[in-house]
Amino acid sequence: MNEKLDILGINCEESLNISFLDSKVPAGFPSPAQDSDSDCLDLNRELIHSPSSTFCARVTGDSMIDCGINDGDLLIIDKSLSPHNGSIAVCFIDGDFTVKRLAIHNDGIYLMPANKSYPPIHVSEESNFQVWGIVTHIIKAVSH
Amino acid sequence: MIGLVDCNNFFVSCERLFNPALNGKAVVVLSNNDGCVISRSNEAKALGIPMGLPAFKIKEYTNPNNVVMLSGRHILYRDISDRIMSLLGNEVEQLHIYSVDECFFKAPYDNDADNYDFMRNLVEKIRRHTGIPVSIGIAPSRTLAKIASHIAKTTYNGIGNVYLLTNFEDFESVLKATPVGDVWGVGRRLSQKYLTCGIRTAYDLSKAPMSWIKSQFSITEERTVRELNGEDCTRITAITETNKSITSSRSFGSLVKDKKTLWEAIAYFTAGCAERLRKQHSAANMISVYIRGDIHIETIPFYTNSCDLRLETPSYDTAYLTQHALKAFNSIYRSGFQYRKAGVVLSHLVNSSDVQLNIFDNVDIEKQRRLMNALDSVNRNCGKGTLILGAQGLDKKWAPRKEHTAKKSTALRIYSGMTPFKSSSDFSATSEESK
Repeated sequence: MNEKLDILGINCEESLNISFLDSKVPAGFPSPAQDSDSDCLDLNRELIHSPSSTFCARVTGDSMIDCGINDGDLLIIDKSLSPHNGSIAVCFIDGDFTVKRLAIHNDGIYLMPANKSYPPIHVSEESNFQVWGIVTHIIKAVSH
Repeated sequence: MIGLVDCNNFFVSCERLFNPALNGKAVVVLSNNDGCVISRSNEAKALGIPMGLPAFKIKEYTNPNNVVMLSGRHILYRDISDRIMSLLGNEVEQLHIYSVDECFFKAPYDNDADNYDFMRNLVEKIRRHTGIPVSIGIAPSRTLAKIASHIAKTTYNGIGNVYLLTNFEDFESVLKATPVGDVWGVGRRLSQKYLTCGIRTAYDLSKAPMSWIKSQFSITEERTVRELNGEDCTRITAITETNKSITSSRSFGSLVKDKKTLWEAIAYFTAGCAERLRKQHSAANMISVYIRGDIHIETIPFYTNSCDLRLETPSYDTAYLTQHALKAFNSIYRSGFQYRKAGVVLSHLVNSSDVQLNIFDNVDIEKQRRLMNALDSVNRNCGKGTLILGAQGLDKKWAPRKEHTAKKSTALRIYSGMTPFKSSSDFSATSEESK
């Protein structure tokens, strides 16, 4: 497989409030009518909708770069969501974890990479295959 | 009716969650220092590997290459356990967390059909959210619920199962098939004693004359017999043990909406209970937390729930008790409600000098005792609340109005990671530093 995923639990008891700059509000003219709560955004609440089923994983590899998943990115994964055609999913196939886009066709399921140098993977009936969870967010560091 | 959720092969199931390649293989999880088997997959059970088998003896049962042996990762198991308990707390009431992988609760419906459907959905939901297969037993008493969950587990289909032991007509056949040693609370020595009296099955025990049981055994055995006959003795336990419990609770000055304030109140109550516990030289085996809305305000939705948590080691340590209060609280807290009252109860008290260490624990009991002595002595000499856990917070937004006095003491906070922001793993690391 082209990348390695280490899946981790998340400690999301904390409210991680950070100041929230709403792009609809012109900078420098905060509305005095806004109550103080709405100026803050709780990162955990924003990223984690179902704490009991949310896990995260760090990406190693480049098979998904064309849909914005790069080496070193952090994925937020919700196990409780149902997979759909087009979902970006963390899958377990033949002994390895991998992140791919699901393509559900009449002749079966394909795991679609987002990098031209990788071929799609056909999930055959013999494959030991499981959709482990659905990727809901990608957190990436921006180099500067 | 009482329900029991029991996680199937819990530690092995947690390992399989993070490594699905283990599915279908014989897997065992080993205790500290890879000593002995503490969890087995069904495949390992089929090889005849018993619970508690020393790891080096596995080769006597099979080629060791056929068995995957794993060292226990208890912080991970606790995280998964917390997820399952909080899912449960969102669905059912009156939780009683008996161990890391077992929790009793009140079945929500009066009839079997509704309970069955509800439980099937619950099993599926827990599996979908956490990946852990669980079995649920429903019965009129805890002892019978334990037997029911065992039946659910043995008919385990890989997804988890539900078994209702609610018809009195079914009791005879089920109890006759249950060896007396498998009954909840009957240990090896007691089952030997029963066997010499000709009691071989749970059915024999349920038919034993009450007068004979009373004369030969203690109240615990009497309770077991009553429970096998379908009588729920949970409440009897509560009554006989009320004189052996410490409670701290308060109605709030205003309705509490946010989780942090509610948690600070519970941390405050826990600290108060713990202090009284130490004053009477006791240690608690169980901590209960309850939260309650305001039933008199019809415009807001009402919610109340409680959770009992059995402690692995009896304790009088404020930090340890607070850590467990947090687990109980997280299991039952639901957002979107407003709370009027909360409380903490410490029960199943023993003399603090009788505290036996759990062999799996790494607690330095002497260090713990000295820290608590120092805490109590500072608070005695410099005024109540001088030294508190960070978890309690300083502003007491929940406090009843009459408690707002002009004099405001300067409290020092011990930062021991007891805010709800830290996982238990962080806790142990930071509390060491603060000591």
